[in-house]
Amino acid sequence: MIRAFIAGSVIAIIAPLVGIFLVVRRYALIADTLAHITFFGVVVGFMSGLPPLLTALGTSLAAVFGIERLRTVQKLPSDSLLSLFLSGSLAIATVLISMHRGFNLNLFSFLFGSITTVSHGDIITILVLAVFVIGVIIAFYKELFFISFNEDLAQASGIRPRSFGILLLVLAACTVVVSLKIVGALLISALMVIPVLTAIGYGRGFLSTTILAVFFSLTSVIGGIFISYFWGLSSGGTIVCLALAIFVISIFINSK
Amino acid sequence: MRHLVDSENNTHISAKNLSFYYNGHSVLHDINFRVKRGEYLGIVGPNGSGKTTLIKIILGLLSPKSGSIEVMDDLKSRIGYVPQYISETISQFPATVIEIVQTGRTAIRGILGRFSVDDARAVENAVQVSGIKHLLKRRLDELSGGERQKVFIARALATEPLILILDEPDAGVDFISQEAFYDFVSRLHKKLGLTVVLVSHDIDTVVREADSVMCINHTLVCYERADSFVKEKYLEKLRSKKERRVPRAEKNSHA
Repeated sequence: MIRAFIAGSVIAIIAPLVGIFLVVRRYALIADTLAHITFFGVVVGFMSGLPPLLTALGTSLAAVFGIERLRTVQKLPSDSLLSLFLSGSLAIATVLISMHRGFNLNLFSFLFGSITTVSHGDIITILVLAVFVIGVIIAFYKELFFISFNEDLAQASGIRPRSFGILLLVLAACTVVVSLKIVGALLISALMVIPVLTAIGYGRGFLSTTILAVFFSLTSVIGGIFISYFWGLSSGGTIVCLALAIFVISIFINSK
Repeated sequence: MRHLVDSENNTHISAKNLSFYYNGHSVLHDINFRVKRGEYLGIVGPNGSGKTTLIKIILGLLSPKSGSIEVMDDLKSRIGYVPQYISETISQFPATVIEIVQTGRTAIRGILGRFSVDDARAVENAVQVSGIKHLLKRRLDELSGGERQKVFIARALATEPLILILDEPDAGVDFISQEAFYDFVSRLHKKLGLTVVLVSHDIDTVVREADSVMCINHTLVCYERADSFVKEKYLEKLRSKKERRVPRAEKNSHA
């Protein structure tokens, strides 16, 4: 349970930190796409005997560069590319699973999250990746903010929007991998997006919106882990349901 | 080719035989002009005539396919730019006015650069000159079109520019706010001695505000002082050029 709280709290902090840049750039679907790709990576990990979190990280980083290359060099539309990678990776993963029926139960925890499967090794991986994500966001906050506000303006000022755009996708890939065990591949994008959407209605600026999003996210994750532990529910589903409930309440309060 | 012009020269921007095409369509063909220090230049032309493409070439966002554009030495970081339709792209962007104005210092601070005393002074000056001190803590998406335009000008001024480039800055702004906005730009031009490049499809506004007027419609149609500019003559030239024009009209271009 302590491991779950440590991992959960770390995820609750980094998911909206990355998510806010994706949401304002209207690129939120990338989180969902990366989640499906990391699931494919997990399957590869189970099949090869390598640590699943590492193979998940490898496949998602490869996908980030693949998507970016196809988008910029081949000039293919972003939304179609995301759809292609999302459905393609899931299709390959399901074929691989059907070939090796032995690990279906373990994979289920990566799809929907399970607090009981978080190991000591997972905690180390999660902490290392989280320190990397938070460190990069603090170091390049002003550049990420600028390209999210307006790419043309940023480029005209001498900032490289493409480089920082790829950096943001790498951070998103790391965040998805970190969150696999607690929230699950199918639900992580919700944790990156819903607390941010809730916070946008109340934040008085970008920084304050980010802090609020982290607060809503922490509330959802810690509350969700408690509820799922005592009622024997899926941790990922409970966390996202709580985040959704907060969002709905916030909409209701905001409309008054 | 994009060269740098010697800063002792009185020219800020100069284009020689500048051409740009996109997907086989000619967007700009054989454009020549020179913007002097402290000049207020208005660029007019119909929709899709290549005005925004020209601005993007000046800013270094696009490279000319032939010919050259020369920008005064060390000017890259000293161009204050207000892009087209920026006001319409910020709905639900949860930033305060001060956060936006401070982006004017992002490139100057450099990677990992802290917000210095010089940065704070430049932002403070930009805010004062623009008269937006009372708006600093408000969210950008709560402001009116006119107020937003002042914020974007303040952001541009925070770069301590020598040139201010405004690409269709009055899009989405009501008539009264437009007048106030152009008065404001005119005061900046005179008070700070800024070189201003204003892009618009509204000929009357450009002729009223600018010192000189450049008309383009893929090629240079006319380039003359505003006080000797005759609208009807320009429209006539535009019509005759349209009939004779050799390059194919631009479609799916950056303009």
